[in-house]
Amino acid sequence: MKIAFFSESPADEAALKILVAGILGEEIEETDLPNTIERRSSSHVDKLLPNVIKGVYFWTDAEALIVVSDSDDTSVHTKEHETESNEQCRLCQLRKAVAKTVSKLKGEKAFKVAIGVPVPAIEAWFLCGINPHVNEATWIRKQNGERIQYDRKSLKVELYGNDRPAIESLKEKAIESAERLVEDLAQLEEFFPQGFGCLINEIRGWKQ
Amino acid sequence: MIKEIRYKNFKALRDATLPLGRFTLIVGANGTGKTSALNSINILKSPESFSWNDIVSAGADQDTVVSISLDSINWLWQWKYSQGYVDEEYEDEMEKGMAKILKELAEEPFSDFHVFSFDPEKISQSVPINSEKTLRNDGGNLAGILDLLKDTEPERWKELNDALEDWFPEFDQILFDRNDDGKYVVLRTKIGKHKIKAKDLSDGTRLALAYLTLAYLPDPPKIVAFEEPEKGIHPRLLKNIQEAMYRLAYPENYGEKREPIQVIATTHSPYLLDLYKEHPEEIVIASKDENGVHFERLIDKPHYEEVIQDAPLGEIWYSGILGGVPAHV
Repeated sequence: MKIAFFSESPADEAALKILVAGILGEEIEETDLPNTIERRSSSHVDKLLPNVIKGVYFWTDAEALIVVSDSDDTSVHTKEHETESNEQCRLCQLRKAVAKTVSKLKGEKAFKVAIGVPVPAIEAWFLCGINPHVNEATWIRKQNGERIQYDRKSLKVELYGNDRPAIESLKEKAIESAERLVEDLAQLEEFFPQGFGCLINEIRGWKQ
Repeated sequence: MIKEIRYKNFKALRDATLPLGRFTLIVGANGTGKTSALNSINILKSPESFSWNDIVSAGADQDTVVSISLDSINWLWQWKYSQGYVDEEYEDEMEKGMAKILKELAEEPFSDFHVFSFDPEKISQSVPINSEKTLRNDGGNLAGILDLLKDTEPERWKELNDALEDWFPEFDQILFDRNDDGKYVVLRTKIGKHKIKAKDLSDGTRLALAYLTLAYLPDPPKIVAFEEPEKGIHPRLLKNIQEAMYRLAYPENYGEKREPIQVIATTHSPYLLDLYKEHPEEIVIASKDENGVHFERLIDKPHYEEVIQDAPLGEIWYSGILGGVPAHV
């Protein structure tokens, strides 16, 4: 399947390719999109997502787009949001933008979009299976005022050894982590039931 | 005006066509042939300065061709040399041929083509009292050209000083001072009327002063190019740099009576690109794939309006959707 990725960095894309291939059970084919689609900050995702969807749809041969954006300090997605969208939740924001844009795409090309939201950052996914304290439930407790031992910066330090990792180190760790995680996707889904769960469910739906 | 330039086996441009308008902003990653494209016009201007190896694509086993279409006379000029001629003897032949063509084309606009790449140090240097009458490509002789403008074009001089206040509200007048080497520019502060020597101004102020000066010259070169005009300039001043370039290209919009100047600029700045949202016809995207470098006008991309909508153009470009960004390994 030809899939384009809209993520924070080439390192993220390298990891996502492995994870998505694992979910689909098939290799990800290269699209004719020559470059990684990157974002500069989370706030730009909301602004740019409609443009990116249309650009991928009209200008590439991709059949699907994977969007992955860190939750940062936004509200963590919950089951309640499924019935009533929460404007403070990144996943809800992205879903809204995707639905609005995809519904207006004119053309015969079938096109799918799946969204993943690592909580609070993709390093948390990469640490799944290494640090059991890092998960969505813990982060929700932090957002509710409980003192917990990690934040976005400390996740980087734990994964890369420092919070200013070299680009090469980012990619190396991303691939290494994804190759480990893809062996037990159920664990990643268990620890990140919303941010990763929504991604895996959407992609599984493509196969049906 | 040059309408388009076509390349075959010219440096990084193995098979590419660069469309040009009165103003063209080329965006692209490093190594996408932006500089080569500008140099191609320089080669026509002074072929004796270039050898075959300066021109031919690495490993090319076919002819090198640079074709320039000029819409003013609807005439296509082609320069073609076979790879088989690459030796000392034929290099001489090539130069002879080029010299002949150049003579024929001496009156053509690209004989008055300048690629400006301003250097703050050169801009602030002292110049001889009776200096030349042109602004050098590196910004050298700024003091000379400004002094000449003051003496010969009082109205322009006043407009330039008014514009200076607009660009840099802390200054109100361009003045000159002298030392053993000649004269140099000083800017007078609005408050306190202090004279600040050009060499003591920030790099950004000196660079902006060179752009401003060029825009107000009564007879600028017929075609000008700027490589990355954002270099050293605060993002908030980019609007002024854009206006300076537009003043050259669209003089009628600024009350100028002179002929339009063709302006070609390259950029890596999303902030500069953001300023061209209303004029996608002026943007050319340079990108590179396994087949080589390609130039494409933004306006020629299908559905471009639908894709871009009201998003900042610089952000869209940075995202990679438009192409013209570095490919990742």
